Amino acid sequence: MSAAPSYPPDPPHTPIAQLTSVLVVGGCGFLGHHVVRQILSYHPTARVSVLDLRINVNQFPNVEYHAGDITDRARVDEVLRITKPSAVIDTVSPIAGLPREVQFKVNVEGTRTVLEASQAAGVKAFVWTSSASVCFDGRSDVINQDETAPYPEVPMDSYNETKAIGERMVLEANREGGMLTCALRLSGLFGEGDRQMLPGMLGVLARGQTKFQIGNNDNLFDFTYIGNSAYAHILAAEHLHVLLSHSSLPPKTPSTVDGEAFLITNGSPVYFWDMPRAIWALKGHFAPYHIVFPKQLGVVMGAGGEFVGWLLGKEPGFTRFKVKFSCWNRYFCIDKAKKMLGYKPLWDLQEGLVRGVKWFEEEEQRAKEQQAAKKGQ
Amino acid sequence: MKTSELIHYAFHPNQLRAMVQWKVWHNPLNQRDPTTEAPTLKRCFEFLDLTSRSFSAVIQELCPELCVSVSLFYLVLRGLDTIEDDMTIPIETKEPLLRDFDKILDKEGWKFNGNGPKEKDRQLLVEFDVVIAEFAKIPPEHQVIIKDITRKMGNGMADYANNTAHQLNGVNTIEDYDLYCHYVAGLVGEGLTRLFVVTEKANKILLERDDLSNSMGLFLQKTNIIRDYREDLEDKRGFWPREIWSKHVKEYKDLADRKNEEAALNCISEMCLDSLRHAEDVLFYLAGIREQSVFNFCAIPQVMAIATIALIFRNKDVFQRNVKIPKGEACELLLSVGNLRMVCDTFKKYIRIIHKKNNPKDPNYLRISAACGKVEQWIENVFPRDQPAPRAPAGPQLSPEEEALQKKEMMMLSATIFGTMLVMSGLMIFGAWMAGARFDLAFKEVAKHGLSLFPSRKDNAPQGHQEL
Repeated sequence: MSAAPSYPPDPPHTPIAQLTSVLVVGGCGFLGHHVVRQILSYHPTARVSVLDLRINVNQFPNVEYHAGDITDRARVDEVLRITKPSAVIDTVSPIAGLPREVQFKVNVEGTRTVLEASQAAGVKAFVWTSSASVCFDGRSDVINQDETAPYPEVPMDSYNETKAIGERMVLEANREGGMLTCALRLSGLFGEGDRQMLPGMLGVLARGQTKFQIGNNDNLFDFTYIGNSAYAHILAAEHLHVLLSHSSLPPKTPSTVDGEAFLITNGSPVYFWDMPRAIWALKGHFAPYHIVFPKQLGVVMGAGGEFVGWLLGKEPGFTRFKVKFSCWNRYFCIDKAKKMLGYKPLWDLQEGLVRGVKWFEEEEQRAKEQQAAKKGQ
Repeated sequence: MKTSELIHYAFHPNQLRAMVQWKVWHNPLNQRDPTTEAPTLKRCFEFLDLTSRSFSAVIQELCPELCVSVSLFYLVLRGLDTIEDDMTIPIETKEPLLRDFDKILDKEGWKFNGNGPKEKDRQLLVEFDVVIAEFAKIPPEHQVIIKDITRKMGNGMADYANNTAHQLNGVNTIEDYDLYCHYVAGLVGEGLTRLFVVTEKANKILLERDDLSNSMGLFLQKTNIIRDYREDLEDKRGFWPREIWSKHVKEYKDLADRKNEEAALNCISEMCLDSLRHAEDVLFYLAGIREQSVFNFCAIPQVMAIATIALIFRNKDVFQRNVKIPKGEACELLLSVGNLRMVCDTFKKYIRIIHKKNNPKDPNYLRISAACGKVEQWIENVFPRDQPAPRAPAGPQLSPEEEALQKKEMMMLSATIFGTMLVMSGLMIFGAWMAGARFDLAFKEVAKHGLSLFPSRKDNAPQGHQEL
């Protein structure tokens, strides 16, 4: 069992409703443990419990931890019976790229199980973590997209497809059995506990590939510090509680937060390659010059990468899609969350990066110490 | 024309073209008719030409309802400024003049010759009676607005003149900086907005959003403050807030020391970052203007400002001399102001230049990137670019087996192409080897120096030639 690292104090936030008892599903994960931490910090009187597949990481004191599989209805029922939450925040998300069956099992079956069990257990507010990719068809830029964009007819991959199914299920279940729901569409997450973006970009640095750039770097990209995404979950739960506090539930209108999906980012798109360069700068590295490949050449190289991968029978690391992705715009309009949830990022990108890189360095240090301890034995 | 300018225009023929176009083709939207003007008004316009280098032309093209009022507004504030600026006037004389300047506007025949002989606009105050005479003739509601702003600005200036801490240390925090700029420029924005709304040339909403008109003034004023670092330093003045420069250097004047070049560049980029936070307000404000001559009057200084920011951003020359946008570029900008969309395009163009000059070594690197992104997103919000309509699914959806088959076919095709290339190059290498090529030496070279795309000069040194 390992405790979560210590965090500096959070910026002030005045709750608009008190959360009394919250169950965070996936609360030991990258996003989940930040949600747990912020509930502890902003709602110190709330009873906080966690249901996760593995509960041996990212633990905080004064939180009840329950191990369990979210596709196991009996276990989910049991945990709900023990913890009696008024709000459930479901942050579970498999890594994109896992097989289709896993995506379906977690995003569709798991979501249905938790959703139905929560309704049955009399939970009042249900906040579900979605992804901005539910509206991404994988074929073109995403420019200033907002929540009015339709789900694509042909989803890009099984992750996006199953996330969209899950999201629809959650939103359609709004007000059924007296439970209010909403979904938060996240994008480009990084921060403490990050296993994808920060390690990926630091890996590029370790391999000495920082000189390369594909495309002209005029494309804007939305990244989100994990603390801000977690904060949006707290706000969403609070807003659902405000609705519930009315003596009789106001009718559902477009201006009530329940049954709605919200895009959540840092609200400050930056030029794509500026982000890795800012990360490398924090490590004291500055590429002496940049070799810029035009996008078309990059696509050809990506095809080469796929070919080699196919020859070797391995998942290629460098693909045409990755090349195009890094040359596309991908940013969103988050006005809906700003207006309806009162969302505003608590940390800007630079502050988030500083925290994330510091965490990563401490992780490396811990790994080294563990190795040294092993050798010593 | 200087040689340096000739070289500049040789490389920027578009700017040269813009200069010619502006001189030859530009038709003013509105033109004064000096034959109908009273001698006092003519004298006022002469003063306008003398005192405002950049604003005179755009003011004189304003629609007839506003042209005279805005000109007089400008001259009144210029008169106030000439009193404030003059360090030879003792504070006991200066303070009441500043505080009561709005009342002076009612005093027929008032003039002032207490300015020092070196004060460049002293003649305006010597003949200020012409301004007062004309002021009495403009619509009363215009007079009220101009007097109100004059009173506020005069009192603000008097407060600063009295404030010894400000005199000694300059501007302290960013908040002070904003407040100072509000007094000297934001208030002008407020006054002009009220004149525009009263003549129905602008949307009433602009009156409620005084933060927008304030930003109009601040964006211009801050640009000038950054650009004029050297000139102000030589006059022993400085308006950059300590809160910003103290992060980079110990003393304000150290910025000009070439030893501190990197710190100075980081400092100027933080100053530009602070200015950029007003850019969206500026565009928002311009969206509220309803009349073409007023739009040009408002937009021209703003596009000049964003072009100037792009020029001075991380530009070390600012600390040594006066940096200005070339005349040709200015003409290009004058031609580029037609409507909000064109102004947005111009803003985007210069935002991209700032983005390209941004440097990861700068502590505000990512924040500058985000500030640029924010302006781009604002523009995208108002003028969404044409996006391809969501494409209909290409044919029927394929089953995983069919997909795999298709992929296999494509891979086989690539394999054939790559295979052919491989055989061909193999043949060529074999041919070269038969002809006596020394691959062993080539490999050794690679092993020694690595496969670098840009070999350093050392690697290209003569010994390489010997082996060839």
